[in-house]
Amino acid sequence: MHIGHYISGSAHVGLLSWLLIGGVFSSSQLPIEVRNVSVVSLSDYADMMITDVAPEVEQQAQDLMQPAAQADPLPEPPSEEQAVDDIKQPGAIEQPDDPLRSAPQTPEPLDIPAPEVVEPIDLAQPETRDSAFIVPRSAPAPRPQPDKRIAPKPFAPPPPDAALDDQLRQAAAPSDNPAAVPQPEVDATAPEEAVRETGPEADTPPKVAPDTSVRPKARPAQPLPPKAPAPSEAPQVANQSADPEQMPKPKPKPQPEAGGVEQTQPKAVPEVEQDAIEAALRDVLEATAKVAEPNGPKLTDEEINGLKNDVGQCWIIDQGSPVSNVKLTVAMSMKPDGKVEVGSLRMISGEGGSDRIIKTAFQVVRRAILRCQKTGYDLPQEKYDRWREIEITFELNQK
Amino acid sequence: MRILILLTSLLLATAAVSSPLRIKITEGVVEPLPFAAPSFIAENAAGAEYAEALADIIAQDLIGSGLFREIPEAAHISKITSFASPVQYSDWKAINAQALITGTVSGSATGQITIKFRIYDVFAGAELGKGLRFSGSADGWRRMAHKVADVVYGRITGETGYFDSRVVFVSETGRKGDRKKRLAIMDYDGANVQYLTDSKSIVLAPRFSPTGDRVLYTSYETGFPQIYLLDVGSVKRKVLQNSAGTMSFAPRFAPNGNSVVYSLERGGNTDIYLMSLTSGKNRRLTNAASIETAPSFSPDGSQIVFESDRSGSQQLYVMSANGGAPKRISFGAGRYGTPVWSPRGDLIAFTKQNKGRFHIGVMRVDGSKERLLTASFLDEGPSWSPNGRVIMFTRETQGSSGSSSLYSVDISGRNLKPVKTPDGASDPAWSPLGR
Repeated sequence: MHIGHYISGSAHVGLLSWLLIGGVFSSSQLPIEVRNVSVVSLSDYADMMITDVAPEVEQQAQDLMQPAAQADPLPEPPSEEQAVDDIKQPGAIEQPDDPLRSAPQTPEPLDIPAPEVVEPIDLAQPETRDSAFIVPRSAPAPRPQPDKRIAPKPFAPPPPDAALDDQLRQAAAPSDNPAAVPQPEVDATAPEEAVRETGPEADTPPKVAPDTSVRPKARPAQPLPPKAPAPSEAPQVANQSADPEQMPKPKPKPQPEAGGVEQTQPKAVPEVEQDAIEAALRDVLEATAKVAEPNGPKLTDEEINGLKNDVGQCWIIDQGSPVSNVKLTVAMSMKPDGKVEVGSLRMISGEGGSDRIIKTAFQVVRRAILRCQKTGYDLPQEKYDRWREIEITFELNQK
Repeated sequence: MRILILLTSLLLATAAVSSPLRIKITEGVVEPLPFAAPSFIAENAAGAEYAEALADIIAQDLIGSGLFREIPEAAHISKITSFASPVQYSDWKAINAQALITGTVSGSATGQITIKFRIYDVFAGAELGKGLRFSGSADGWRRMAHKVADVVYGRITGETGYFDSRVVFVSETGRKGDRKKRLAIMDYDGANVQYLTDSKSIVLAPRFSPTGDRVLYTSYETGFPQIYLLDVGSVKRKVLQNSAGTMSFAPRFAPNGNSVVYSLERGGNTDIYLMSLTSGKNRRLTNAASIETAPSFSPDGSQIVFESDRSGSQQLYVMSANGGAPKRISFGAGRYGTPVWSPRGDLIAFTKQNKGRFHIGVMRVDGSKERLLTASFLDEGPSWSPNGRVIMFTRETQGSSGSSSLYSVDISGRNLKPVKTPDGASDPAWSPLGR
């Protein structure tokens, strides 16, 4: 009896479940594929068929009826032969009897003769200082000039109490207390022996080295232990240099069993001169390291993005133009008020187009930078050292 | 070694010292460049007639390119009263004019006019290139204005202008079922329309020679399509291909102007042939049972792009100019036709039909980077501007009263606009620069 109840109950539960969720398993109607077809209208068909009707043939050109517009006498050819190359039409075929071609007279462009040329640059203008921009345009495409970038401008000014000269002198001067002289970390990783392992110095005749050293006399009291008198080593090095077999080896470590050649290699450059060179380099390194430290905190991402947006909103993109393929980097010096030192704005690299296209791309970004600076870019004055010099690379994201 | 390490450290330190704030900008704005073009200064009474019109045409050309926006003269702070006066850059900056065009015009008793003009980069505070002077017949003043606009366009965009050019096209009049068609020629902007043939027979697909002095076209004068060569200057013409029992069509000049590539239907099969205009000899370039047509040379003359249904549907193929095995370059859905190689050589424009719509599109010469620039009931027959920047094509409206007209679009897909013609128009072919 219970079994009957179970069977009946299960059957009812199954039936109810089917009624409740059975729709889930029902299939939906398949989508009907719709395709558009082209129907040729009667008029179109007639249009096509009209081509089968042979028209009257072989009419002469001079019999062709021309509209009134053609009858109008058309302009004379230009009377002047003063053509400028960039406007002159290439390969034009002469048409002695050319009523249609005579319509568009070919004005021949000319460079304005000197007496007529207005020279706006020479005229007093409020923006006369802006004429400095002519330089990058008229000059060949500028290339990175490391010396120029390093030397005059981009260095941050040294702290008021430590002029650049002082720093150099201080480092180069003999000191009773070597620890007081700031030693760059590289000293710790550059043992004296390392110098003896380097070959290039051996190429330099020893008698030339002292003359070319930038500071041969600046290190008389360098607190490094003297090794050997230079005069006695010089001839050895000279002999060594003359023998190609004894030129610097990749691993000329002064091993005891190395023999005469290896023993003479450490004397390739007199140590006093090495010391002088090292000291000079170290001095410059220290000085530059000090100068390199800009004051104040770094610009935040928000501040940098703000500058990007300010310039980007004036950078007019000409999609489809070769100019849009150019990757261009410009550099400029900034004034504390956020304005650009207009004379400093220059292109330092450009690629992705001909010289003409790169020049045009520079003009475009120059306009963008100068136009959107308005009263000065919104940059934090307290971080001026961080944005005193700016380089901007323009490269359109080609999606 | 110590010196070497010091040197390295010095270089690194130096780099650190000279390292300015470096940022990279990858997005700009797409907007027309604002410029000011005050009316030219009339240097005498004869020039006064053209002073305003010249500046107007120059402005229309520049605006029409979609790359420039004119600042109306009413907004100008400075007035250009003398060509020799200094430019007050601050006044032009104040109205956000990035370029300034000034000029003068003078006329002579002999019917000549002389135009002088200068272009200024306002924000750079300097002249953009040297000033130029054009002289010519007063009747050609419009063309002189186009030339000035070409110079302005070139100096600001770095590209060659295309305003001093013409378009040959098929002028259409009458109802759709009874259209009268004749060849016509006009300035690129629709001005100075003149007709080259009468309307007694159907004419199709005119094509300029590389020098702009001759036009190839297809005519049904004999009842069958045949190719004609027309001299634009004298309007004299001759049949190029008239073999009995054949149909020739879709002609196009080779870049050297001495040969013509075209389609010839013979015995129900259509292939591409090359004809020498000097010797008259023909050479077959394709040999397939399918329809090969609409050939177009690459600018260097080394390759030909054409359409073929050899795969079962209409697709684009590229082959050597000497013939040989073609390579298919179109693989998208739909049918491709009327390919035209860009004067720059980097793109191929085409007509595409897909899902009941027609498109004008461009793709790279290897078939990659396909972009559709337009979509309508019927767009077809693209033709490149001489600088490869703009495409002109035919757009036909739907229905029995539908009509054909010319449109142009920038290859960026922007600046789609109709080209003004007096009547219906189709099959445009742009001339080389300078006609």
